[in-house]
Amino acid sequence: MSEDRRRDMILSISPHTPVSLDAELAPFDPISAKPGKALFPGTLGREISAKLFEPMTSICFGVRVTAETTDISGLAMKIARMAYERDAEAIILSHVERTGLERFGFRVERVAGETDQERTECEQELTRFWNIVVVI
Amino acid sequence: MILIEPALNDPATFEDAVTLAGQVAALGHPVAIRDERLPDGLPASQKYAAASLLRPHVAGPVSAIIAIGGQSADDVSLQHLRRIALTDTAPVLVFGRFADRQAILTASARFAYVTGREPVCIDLSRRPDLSAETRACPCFGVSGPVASRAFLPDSVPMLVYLADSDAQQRRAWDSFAYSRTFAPIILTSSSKKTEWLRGGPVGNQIYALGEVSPSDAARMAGIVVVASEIAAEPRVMCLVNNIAASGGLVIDATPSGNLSLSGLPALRGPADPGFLHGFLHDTVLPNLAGLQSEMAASPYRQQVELRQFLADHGVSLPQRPAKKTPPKARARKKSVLFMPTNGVGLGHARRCALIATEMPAATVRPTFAAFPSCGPMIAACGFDWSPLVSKSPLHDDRNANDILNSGRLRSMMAASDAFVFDGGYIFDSVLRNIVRAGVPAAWVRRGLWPSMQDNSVALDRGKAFARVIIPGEAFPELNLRYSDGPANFPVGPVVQRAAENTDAVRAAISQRFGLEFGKLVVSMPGSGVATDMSAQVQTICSTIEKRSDTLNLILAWPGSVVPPVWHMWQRSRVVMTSHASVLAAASDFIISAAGYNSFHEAMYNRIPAIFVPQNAPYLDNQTARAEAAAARSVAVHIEAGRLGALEREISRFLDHGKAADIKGRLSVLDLPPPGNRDAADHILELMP
Repeated sequence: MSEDRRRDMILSISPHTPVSLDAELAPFDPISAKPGKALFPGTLGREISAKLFEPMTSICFGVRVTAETTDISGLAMKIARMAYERDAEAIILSHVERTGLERFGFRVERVAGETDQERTECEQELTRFWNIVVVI
Repeated sequence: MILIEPALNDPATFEDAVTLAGQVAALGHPVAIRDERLPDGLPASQKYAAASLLRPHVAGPVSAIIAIGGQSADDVSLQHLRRIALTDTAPVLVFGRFADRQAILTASARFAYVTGREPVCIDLSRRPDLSAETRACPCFGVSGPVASRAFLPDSVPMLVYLADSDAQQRRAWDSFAYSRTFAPIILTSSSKKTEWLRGGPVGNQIYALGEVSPSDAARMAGIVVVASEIAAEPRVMCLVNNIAASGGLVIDATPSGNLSLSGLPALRGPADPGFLHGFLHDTVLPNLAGLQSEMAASPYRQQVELRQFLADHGVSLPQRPAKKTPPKARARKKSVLFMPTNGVGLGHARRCALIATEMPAATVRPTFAAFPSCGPMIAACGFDWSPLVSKSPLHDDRNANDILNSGRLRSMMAASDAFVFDGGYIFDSVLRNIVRAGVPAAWVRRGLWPSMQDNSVALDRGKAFARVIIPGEAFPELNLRYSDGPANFPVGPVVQRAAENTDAVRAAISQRFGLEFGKLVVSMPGSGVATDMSAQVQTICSTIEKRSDTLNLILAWPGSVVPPVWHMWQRSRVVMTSHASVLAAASDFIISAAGYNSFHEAMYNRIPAIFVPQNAPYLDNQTARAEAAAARSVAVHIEAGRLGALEREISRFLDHGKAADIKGRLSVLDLPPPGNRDAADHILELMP
């Protein structure tokens, strides 16, 4: 990612948040139902090789998000600042449905699974894909 | 686990290792290639094939090492083999092309030193039955049921290997497309396939060799016609031996007629494809059972059988656990896997959710493989979903994400009874997994493709689908035909009908914001990826800011970037929801792009609309849709750059009764019945 692009990302961060209307609208939606789950399909015992995805044009670090936060702009600024200073790409490893970081232009990957082991496998697969060495 | 070791570090030996490992995997035996042997710059097609076979770590004891290119193994390979933990009885099998007896002894000594046991060296130059010219791959066959799958009713599927072809030969093979007796599946090189497709529509199915593995190809048909010399093409030799090992029929239609020199009991056929139809129809078909029995009884069959070869060297296949038959009362639901292709938008995913909703919940379980932006919407409809990874700008290989997704799809398809794809471009991962899994598949193919788009690749890949479900457009002039054939199933528009209780929705919104409003406008700028609609949104917000009786809701797409300035307006609010249809139906009018879902919801739910079509080379022709509605005076069409016209139309809608006029015309607009249920039924019919 270019320095301009990283600066644009910082400029897009603000405390304003789109208002979710899901609670108000869901009762009127005829196809609304009890929410489904995010599942990890598994690897069929095959650990994928990171070498398949080399080379990359940027260095990546992972940011694990396991819960929604009320101070999303504060978190966004911290991550964007690290990416800017280190000239690296932040990859958000989201264990929740929406992190709120998407709207600032962060790359967000969904970590899915019903058990801790599945979520670990899913996250490991993503870290191999992005060649991530450090997850914070 | 069997370790396949490319003893030479070059792309050709690695490709051969992948071919052999794929054959071992087809037997059901765990197999691995160390990822350290992955050569740089490997083509994407080989990465797809290798992905499920490569291992960063070879864990656990190895039950056999099969080294290929053993005549000149490099030191790195040998050093690693020294560290491999072998089971007590594990054999070391070394394939190579050895110049003389001394070369065999040298290789044998080197492998014996690093593995600690006496290797078996097999000279491929003395085994024409297992060999494709100079290549390192031992081309064993894997037996399976002789395929009788037919894509056309009552036709005989037939694999045809054709390495090179001129225009006359291609025409001769194209003429088979008019045969009601045969359904050829052409296998050729990637470049020849492209050349063939450039020549115009191809009636036959045509696959590049890199698109389909020998074991997957062998499941497609019980007859293979070899119309070109196999030369240095191990994958074709493996395919031929797969068919032979399965008791299928091999027809030698090569110019030289040399195929049987390998000992293969092939039936000699005419090399000129112009004469093949008569030969196949009059000579082969009437005697098919007898010919196949002859092949089945041939000693060649056992000679090239991989299972037999491994057993002869003390490697037995692991026992597969017996399948438990569930009691009838607890019969499992049929599983239908949907894969919509939206990266940021929601159109394909929404359409899939609408179709899935029509399936009987008591007997069918729809699940989704989807990109993360679509997940919340899919989950809100009650469906489980598994995330895919979107395209990455940071990887040199533009297929990197698709290679990862291919593994996920493979796992999901293994547990699915049917597969449904909704998108314009059929990814490699989709094509390969449908062929591999053999799962019945349907392609939901929305129309109005851009006129300048080259559709040949998409239409060619449609061959993998048993059915193409074509959701219609609201207006007949928009229903363009892109292909013909018995696999096409047109249905009415797939659209969500909104609930009637719009007053209650408006009251809930008013309460949520603590704002009174008489008029509600919903702005839907889309994801912003195809077209940046920020200027249009600013124009809308500015126009509405002066009106104390009006509220403008800007619907932010999940995952889209929201400019902070949108939050600054007093009479506009930025919102997000998985229930956009409900919101739009409660509005006085919408300002929206003319994507399939937004457009049809406006027409069917009688919502006045100002359409500002998005334009991008990969988008559908939204302008045509907006124009068709504008021509009937049931919507307004404004080009994206005309901000002044947009402002004037908003005023006309709000102040001069234009929204009410359009709503009146929409209420009497004659529309075709929705096709949601028909689309679901066509998919359900695919499952036994």
